[in-house]
Amino acid sequence: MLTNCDANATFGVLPAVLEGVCEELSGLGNPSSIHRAGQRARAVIEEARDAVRAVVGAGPRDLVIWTSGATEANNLAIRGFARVALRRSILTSPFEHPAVLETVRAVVGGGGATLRMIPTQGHELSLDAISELADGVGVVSLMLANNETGVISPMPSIVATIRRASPGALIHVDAVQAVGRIPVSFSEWGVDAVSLSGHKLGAFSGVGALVMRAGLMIEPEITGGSQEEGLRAGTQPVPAIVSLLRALSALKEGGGVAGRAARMAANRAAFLRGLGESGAAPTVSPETPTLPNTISLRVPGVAADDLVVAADIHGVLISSGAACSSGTQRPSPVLLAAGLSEHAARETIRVSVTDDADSDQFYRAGKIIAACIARLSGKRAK
Amino acid sequence: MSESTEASADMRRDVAPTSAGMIAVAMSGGVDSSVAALLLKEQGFEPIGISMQVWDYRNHGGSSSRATCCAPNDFMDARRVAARIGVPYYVFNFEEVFREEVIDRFVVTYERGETPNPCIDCNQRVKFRALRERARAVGAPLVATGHYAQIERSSRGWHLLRGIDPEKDQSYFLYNLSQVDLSETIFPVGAMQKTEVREIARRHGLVTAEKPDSQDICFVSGAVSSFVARIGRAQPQPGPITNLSGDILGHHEGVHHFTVGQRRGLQIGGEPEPLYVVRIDPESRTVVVGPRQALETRAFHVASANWCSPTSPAVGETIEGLVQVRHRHPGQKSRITRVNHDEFIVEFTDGWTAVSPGQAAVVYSADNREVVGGGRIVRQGTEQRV
Repeated sequence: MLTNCDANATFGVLPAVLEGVCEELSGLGNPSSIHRAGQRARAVIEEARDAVRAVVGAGPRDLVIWTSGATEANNLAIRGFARVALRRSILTSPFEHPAVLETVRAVVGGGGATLRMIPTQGHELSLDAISELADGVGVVSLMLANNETGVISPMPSIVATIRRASPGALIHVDAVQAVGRIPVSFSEWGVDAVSLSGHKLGAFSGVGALVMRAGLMIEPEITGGSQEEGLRAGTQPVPAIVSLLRALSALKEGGGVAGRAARMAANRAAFLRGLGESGAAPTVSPETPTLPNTISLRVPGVAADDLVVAADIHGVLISSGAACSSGTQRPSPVLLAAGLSEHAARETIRVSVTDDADSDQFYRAGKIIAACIARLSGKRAK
Repeated sequence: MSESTEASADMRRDVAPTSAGMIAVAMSGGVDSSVAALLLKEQGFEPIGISMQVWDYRNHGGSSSRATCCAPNDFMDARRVAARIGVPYYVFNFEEVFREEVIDRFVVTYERGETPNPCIDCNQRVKFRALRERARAVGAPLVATGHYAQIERSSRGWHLLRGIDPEKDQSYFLYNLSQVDLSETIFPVGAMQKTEVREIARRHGLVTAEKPDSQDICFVSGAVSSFVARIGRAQPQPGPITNLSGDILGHHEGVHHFTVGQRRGLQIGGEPEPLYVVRIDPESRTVVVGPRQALETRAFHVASANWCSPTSPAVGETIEGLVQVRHRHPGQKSRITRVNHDEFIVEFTDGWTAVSPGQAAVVYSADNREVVGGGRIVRQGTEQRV
């Protein structure tokens, strides 16, 4: 049996999504078709839009633009905003996901804007610096919760600060890891766009969305048919959208974000109990707010990549801060930005639990990781 | 001396593999290691496919062609094979240890005017040391590779034997293994012909079935001399090319352009017979050339010895056997005298052969079946260094 302690990579399709999705898909046509099969599909994707608005706290008239995933949603927001923004500068942070950072760099590199990078203080953004850096800024793209460390940025005060410094700024929030795990208040915070991803919520991969404030105009990145109000051409991924609708329904039935957050926190605590005194230490101070399911742990003397492999062999899925699918050992830029040394970054793992298994399973997973650590440290000690 | 081994028809382990039977399979992305993983899976082991990231091809421009092993494209093939046969697969990074133990040695050996054999260093220091340590630490106590060689157990210990397929036999590259290495290693294709291996791969629809064999040094593309000049620490310096009597025949751009036995690229004309590099003196940067006979020797000295067989000679003992002085060399009847812990002397009992300092001399049993040991050729002649 595998225990998914790598939910931030993908949550895994929820059983509640899998059950019945096949029947639901039969008889669904192209949402743009006139006939009834098309109408049925259209109805489902509109219902799913409402569910997305609800989970991010958006209003009924705010746009939900279906995309292939959060990377595309981030591209659409950043590139789209950069074209229409009043000022040609982009404010972002070194903690961002490559889907944001590389897109910002591409826009800046193409001469579309200048770059303003928020300095960091440990795992957090330097809030003092934001007010100065945001002065007269055109576009802002910041994540709500970090995928590697789980650290949550104080978005309401950040948005307020930016609004004071640059009232016309277009503010995009990458909420991929936050949605469904902590409250997101699109309207209340007054942001302009939020990205989310289906497979981080227990839906299929292949669908994401950009939620955008009603009345904003951007140009599409993908041209073609007139789907999505002309903002994103191409037939919508109906099966993935159906799965997202089911995943959001399951979330709601399970007590909503608060319910999931509580179960995740219990599972994370169980994992840490199982881990015991293994030598692994959190890289983020307990005072810093994090996602309820995520913890970044440094294991001195143990290469994170080796621990990932050992854990996998013994049935526990975790990840190293360093994305290492190709075997090139690059330490995580997020951890380096947080002030960890390259050496420390290479010894840091990410544990991100789900809420669809019981706490005992995560307790056992913690014990397995502890055993792997003991074995791997033994190798070093020799 | 080579007593007969207790060859069992089934050459798999007769020790029970520990715990879950997990075994790390070094997968290069070639057909041999692909089939090795497949066979182990069929035999009930739990193979774990591991590719070794040893060299940053993008930054160093090394070969990424299909004719070499361990290039990034090959990881894709290894990954596909692992998925096809249903085994987990990981890429381990060994760039640091490979750089130190293989590349640096390769370059330094060239700069010394000797001929390195990086595959032997890679086997000894990377595959059968670094990889095995990491595999053991993550939970796989045994290791397998796609080498064409066999391991048998007798009452005396473990025996490294030539592969069945004489064309593919790779035992020459493995003389540095220890008894412990041999006891924890499986060569699943060693008792097969290459054609059989390809046939198995084809039958199972493995993407690597028709892949050409690797030929070159995996980390070098183009000329070795330019690689050495680029990676090496020493600034290449010109020097004289002389004949055996010391007459200067020309000049060269650096000793790393030459290896002993080399014929091409000397750019010396007007000589009655073809000239070969006979000797390289890195201190005076002199390349000595001469006729083919000048390369040949009846005896030579070997250092850094390893005796992998449990039936190896004692210090001071002389044994009869065959000695292979390079990969494609058929092996020549010899008397082998173990001088001390580290060194031995080889005397050919019939005829002369060209040898290159730096290359491995591997001692096989008189029946040409078992690797007894081996070492690095240091120089011609039987005199001991004082």
